[in-house]
Amino acid sequence: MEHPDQWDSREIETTDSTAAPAASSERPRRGRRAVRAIGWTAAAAGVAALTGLSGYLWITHSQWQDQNDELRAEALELGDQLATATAELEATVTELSTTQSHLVVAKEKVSTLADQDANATDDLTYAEDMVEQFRICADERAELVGYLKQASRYTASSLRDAERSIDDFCDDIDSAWTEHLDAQE
Amino acid sequence: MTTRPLTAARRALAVALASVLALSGCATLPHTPAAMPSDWVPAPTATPVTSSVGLSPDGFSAAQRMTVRVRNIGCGFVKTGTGFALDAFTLVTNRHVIDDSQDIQVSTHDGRSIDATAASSTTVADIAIITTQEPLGGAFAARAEEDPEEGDVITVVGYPNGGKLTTVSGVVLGPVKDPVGSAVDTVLATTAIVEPGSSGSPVLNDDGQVVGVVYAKNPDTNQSFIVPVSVLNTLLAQPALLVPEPVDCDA
Repeated sequence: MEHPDQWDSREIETTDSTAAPAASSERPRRGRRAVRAIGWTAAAAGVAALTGLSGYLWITHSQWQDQNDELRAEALELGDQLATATAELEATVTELSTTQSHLVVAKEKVSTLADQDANATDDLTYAEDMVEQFRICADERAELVGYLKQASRYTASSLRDAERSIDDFCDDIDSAWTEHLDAQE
Repeated sequence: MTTRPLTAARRALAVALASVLALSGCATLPHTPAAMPSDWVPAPTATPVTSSVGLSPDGFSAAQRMTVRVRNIGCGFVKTGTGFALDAFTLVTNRHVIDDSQDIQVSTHDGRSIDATAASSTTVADIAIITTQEPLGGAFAARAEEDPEEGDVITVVGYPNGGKLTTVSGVVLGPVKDPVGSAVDTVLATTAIVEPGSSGSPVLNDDGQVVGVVYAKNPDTNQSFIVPVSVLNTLLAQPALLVPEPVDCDA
């Protein structure tokens, strides 16, 4: 059993020796054409893909560039705001420090004035008490003068005791007042 | 003569292969930028640290505002001491500060003068309680539950020598027998330097709580003596231990 192709080739070999090379070159040519077509198709597809890719990259690049511009503007604005806020903070801190210094001075002044007022009140109160004691001393002496005017009604010893008692009382007041004045100096 | 078509075919394949290789780089293509945020200032994630110094309405500390100067206008004398406010109308001082008084006046840290309406004292310790009709204002004492221990750092706020409001520090030396015999219990000795006029000063711990009341000093050693807060707490819990103090020279 022979294949028709084998039979045909034998026939071609026997009947027409010049036609055989033309038939045999037709098949490779067709193959090469197919390969070439596939190659060009693939190349065209590649070029198309690269074109698409380039477009995509161009759009992406453009979008990143736009966003970069926006971010730069936003960063500059935030930088301005930060600089303003920092300057305000520094001014506030300085102001607070000054206020604290003033508060310390004011506090010291309040303490000093409160102390002066309290001590002045102490002195005034003591002086008022001394005035009262001197008034009592004067009243007692006036009363003693009255006794002495009527000396005949009292014994001499009782008058001397009364005089001594009043003198002691007045001397004590006088000493206390002198001591107080000395303490003030 | 068959090499030309093959070369062209190989060239086309090479172009195709290069295209495939180039397209394989699409796996690492840059993405388009995300949408811009609407708010660039984030919410703070940390709370600003506040100063440990407590706020004061006038620059004076709470201990200074609760401490008052006590003026005892006696029969032929005027003497001063220190006290501290328990509440708006009640203050604590020493018994010997208000002894033989005819009138008692209180001066606050800012110079206000307030008259006392009544005074009471006890024999178990050198402690007296004074009440006023006008409010003392300022701050009020927080009393500690327990007495200070040996080595504890204390602060004394008062009016030494009837002068300016002064703050001094010291250390608790420990319990001792009352050197002046005015208390039935032991008292505490400290290194805080006090003067006449400091009597009745509040003794404060690190937390600002009252842990004692100054009542005496040893001028030779410069030690001061304080009534422990436990005694003060007991007295305040048992008002029957406090008796009214006469405010009359004839008395």
